[in-house]
Amino acid sequence: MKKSLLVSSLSLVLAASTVLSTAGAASKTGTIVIRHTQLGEAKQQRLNILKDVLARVSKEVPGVKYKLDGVDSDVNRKEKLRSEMVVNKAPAIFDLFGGSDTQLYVEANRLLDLTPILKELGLSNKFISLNEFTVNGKIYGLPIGGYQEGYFYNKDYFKAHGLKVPTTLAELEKIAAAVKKDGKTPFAQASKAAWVPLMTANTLWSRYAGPDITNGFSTGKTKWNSAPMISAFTKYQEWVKKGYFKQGELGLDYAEQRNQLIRGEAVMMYDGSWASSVFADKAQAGDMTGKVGYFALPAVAGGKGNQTYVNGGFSNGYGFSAKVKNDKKQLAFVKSFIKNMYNDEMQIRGLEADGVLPSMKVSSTKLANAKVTPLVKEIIAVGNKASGAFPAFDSLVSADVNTALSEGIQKLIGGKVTPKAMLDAVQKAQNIANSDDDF
Amino acid sequence: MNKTLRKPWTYVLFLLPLLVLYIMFFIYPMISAAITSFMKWNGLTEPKFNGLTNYKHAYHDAKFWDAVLNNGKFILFSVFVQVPIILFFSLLISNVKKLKGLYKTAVFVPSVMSTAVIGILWSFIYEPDIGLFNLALTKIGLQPVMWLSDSQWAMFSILITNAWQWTGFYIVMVLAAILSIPREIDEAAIVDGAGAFTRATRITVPLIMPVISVVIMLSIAGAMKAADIIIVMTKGGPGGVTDVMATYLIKYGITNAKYGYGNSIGVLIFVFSLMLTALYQVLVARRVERVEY
Amino acid sequence: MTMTKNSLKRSIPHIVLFAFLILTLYPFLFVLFSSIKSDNQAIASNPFGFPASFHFENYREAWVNAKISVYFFNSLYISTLCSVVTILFSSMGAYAISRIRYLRISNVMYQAILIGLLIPGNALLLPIFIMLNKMEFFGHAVLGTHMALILPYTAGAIPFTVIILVAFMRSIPGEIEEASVMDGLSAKGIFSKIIMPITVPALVTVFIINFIGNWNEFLMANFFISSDNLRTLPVGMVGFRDIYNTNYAQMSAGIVFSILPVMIIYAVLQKQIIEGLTAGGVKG
Repeated sequence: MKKSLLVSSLSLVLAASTVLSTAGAASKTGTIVIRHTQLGEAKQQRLNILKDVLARVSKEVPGVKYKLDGVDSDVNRKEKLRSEMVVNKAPAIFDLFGGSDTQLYVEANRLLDLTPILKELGLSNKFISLNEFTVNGKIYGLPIGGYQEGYFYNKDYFKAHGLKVPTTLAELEKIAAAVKKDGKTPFAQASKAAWVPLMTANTLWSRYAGPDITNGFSTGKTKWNSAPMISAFTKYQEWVKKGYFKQGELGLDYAEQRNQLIRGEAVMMYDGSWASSVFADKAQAGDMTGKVGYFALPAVAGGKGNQTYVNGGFSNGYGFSAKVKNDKKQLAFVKSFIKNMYNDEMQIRGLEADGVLPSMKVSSTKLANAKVTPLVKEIIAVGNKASGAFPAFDSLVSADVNTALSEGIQKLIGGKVTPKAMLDAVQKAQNIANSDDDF
Repeated sequence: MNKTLRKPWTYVLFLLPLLVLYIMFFIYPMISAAITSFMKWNGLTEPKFNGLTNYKHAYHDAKFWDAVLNNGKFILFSVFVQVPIILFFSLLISNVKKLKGLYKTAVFVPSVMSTAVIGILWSFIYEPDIGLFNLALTKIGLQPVMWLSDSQWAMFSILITNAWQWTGFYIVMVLAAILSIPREIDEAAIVDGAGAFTRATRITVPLIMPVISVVIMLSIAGAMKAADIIIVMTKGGPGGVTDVMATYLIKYGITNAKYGYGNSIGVLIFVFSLMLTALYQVLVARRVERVEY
Repeated sequence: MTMTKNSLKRSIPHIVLFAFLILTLYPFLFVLFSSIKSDNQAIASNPFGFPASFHFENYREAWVNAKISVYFFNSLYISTLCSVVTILFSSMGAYAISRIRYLRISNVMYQAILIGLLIPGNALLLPIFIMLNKMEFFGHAVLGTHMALILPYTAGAIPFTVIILVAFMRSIPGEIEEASVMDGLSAKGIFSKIIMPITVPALVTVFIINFIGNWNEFLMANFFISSDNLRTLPVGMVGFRDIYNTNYAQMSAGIVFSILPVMIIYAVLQKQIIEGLTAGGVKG
């Protein structure tokens, strides 16, 4: 009787945990998990597209259960997927960034080689650019759309104050000064996540130091603390000091940025083309719906290299776990997913419903007939006028350099560091990352 | 002496489940952390032995020392700000005749909520435009403060939140100790003509030193563990000024894919905890006759 | 004269304490009021007062958008289960260490466990993560299930619990057991019939402290669990905040949902919780 205390208590725990582990493990046997980042109001359309695609896939590949798993984009990229990759437990299908992220995971054989699948589906030459997802000639991810970055602006305000879309940085600054004088914030910004202010900074430094400069950092050919880079960040700091950004914006979440524009307290906003859908939706943009225009960050007098390049590319999309190839059903599911997600119909739908620029070579007639908002047309027009595009810095530099730069820009905004000191620190991190006795 | 209490099998059986868990989740991870702390390892590909490089890097990284300093601020704030406040209010509550129960119940409320929810709640209170504090400040004609985004204020704001969460918890502990002091001691002092202040400082406080020591010990342990409140409120920002050792570990170990380096930070956290405990034993515990925790 | 002076003197502590209570409790009221205001604008224009109109749809939206009930029950059962198992194993171990006569081994064990108290849990986050990944429980992978939290939570509270319980059990006089041995009780019998009942106050104390610790735990829950349905309250709420971070009215409703059950439990059990917290461990 009494000795059973120990035994029974142990077996109770074991029994309890067995029940639990079976409950949790149900997801392992065949259920495909799709990690997406389409959360919140602004991304509702993109989520609908994903759901429709999955509905079709499950018709084509019956008997495979699937589950959607939504995680915030930045959290997924920097923590969730990172840690899952380490223990080789990434979902079968997941949101993936091209460039250094993809390279890191390919080195560890975590990503499914898509080259044969694309061939089989006849998609090999259908994408505009797969550069960021290509490692050693093989393709490991597929961009869901293209993006470019530029200034969104309040058209009514520009008209009412007789302001014109600037063609030089000096003109842009003149506008900013006028807006500031008027008691408004020139540039909407919310820098709790450092990639937000770094969008502006990235293009600014590419104007000052040339669109190619970012490519050279990881090879040592170019330096973060070179003179034109310092000029770019000095300009940025000047804007901060003049109060061109909202006070306290360092503590605000990214979504707050567009709200500053929507509420009318800010007049311009540097953001990616993905933000355009918000201004087409009455529920989100309110009175500002349809009243937002778009222009590229203008040319810098004396800047290096071509001044019409835009920050743009095809860096965000879906990747697939290498483990999928061991499971026929899962592989069939993934193939069907690629087939149903990456086609003209969905590309046009993404463009129409959400302003996502196509990542595939959609037939020009279909593209011309697509029902898009004037804002999206403006964005496309800006893209067509540009002589080229450079990818965002974070696909070109390693994670620790990104961290150093992220902390640096926040300190710069907070007035804690000079541009020179900040860039010296970034270069130091870059030197360590480039050297062999890396830690 | 007698056999019933000396059967080796009984001894082993009683200890076994404990030992298994302890070895699995303390001893083994500690050893594994210590070994990988000497390796260059991104967690993905094969690890490579790199000697003391990780530790050297930590030693030369100003950001790591900033993080250590922030843990220090946590400790100093709890010992020199929180503990006196806890003592003050415990004494105050113990001396009132009415509403004692209400005070005790009410101050404890924040302690039953999870830190993450508290972090969310306080981020709202600190919000620059519509947060409670800035609305109050602007109402009385003062300039709003950028609580979490101004590097001057960010760490302080987190410390306040942390204090708000735990003060009541410790008050309840200290209060129980005060109330367990035999009434006669206090009454004798009153007869001797000792005032309330004298009684508090000369009689009550010395008698409850053990529990104060426990509060300090728990505060230090809490300070070394602090991470969740920072992740929720600032993610270490702006520009890393609110990073503590644990968030630094995550930033470099996971986000930057440096597992070996992350583990060397883990080892350093352990070493610092050891040093703190030793220091605490010398400075505080020795003066207290009996420490339970 | 003296009467009023006396009563004034008596009410000063109450005034100070009431100010402290307001400081402690006002944030809750602020969130409660905000949760029924229409939007951020309404919060900003009337921050302290009662809302002009009631907007309970915030609650509906928060309920739909965040699986608060799922998160809550996950947290509740994991925290309870782990606290109970920790206490069970620790009290068995503490009994062996403090009452069974293998002094030298017991001393070594005790010192080893004492060191565990000095290891902050998050220092071992990475190795535990890697270890859990290799682990299987009855043929199922541990990582990605609740077991990945239950095991480290149960183990993590061991040093603290053992040390409290050893101290408590050592203070129990030895004569009690000797009498029981005479009565023919075995070691297990003494443990379950004699020692455990005496130890109840300490057990309640460690249960409460461990429960609060598990209830709060964020780092492991954040990294070891992926699927939304398995998330605990802290992680689920932070995920909810990350998505709806600009709609403070709805977020406030979410906060209210997440603290309401705790408040109710606390209101019902406050006496037991507060007394239990101090009954077993802290003896001035």
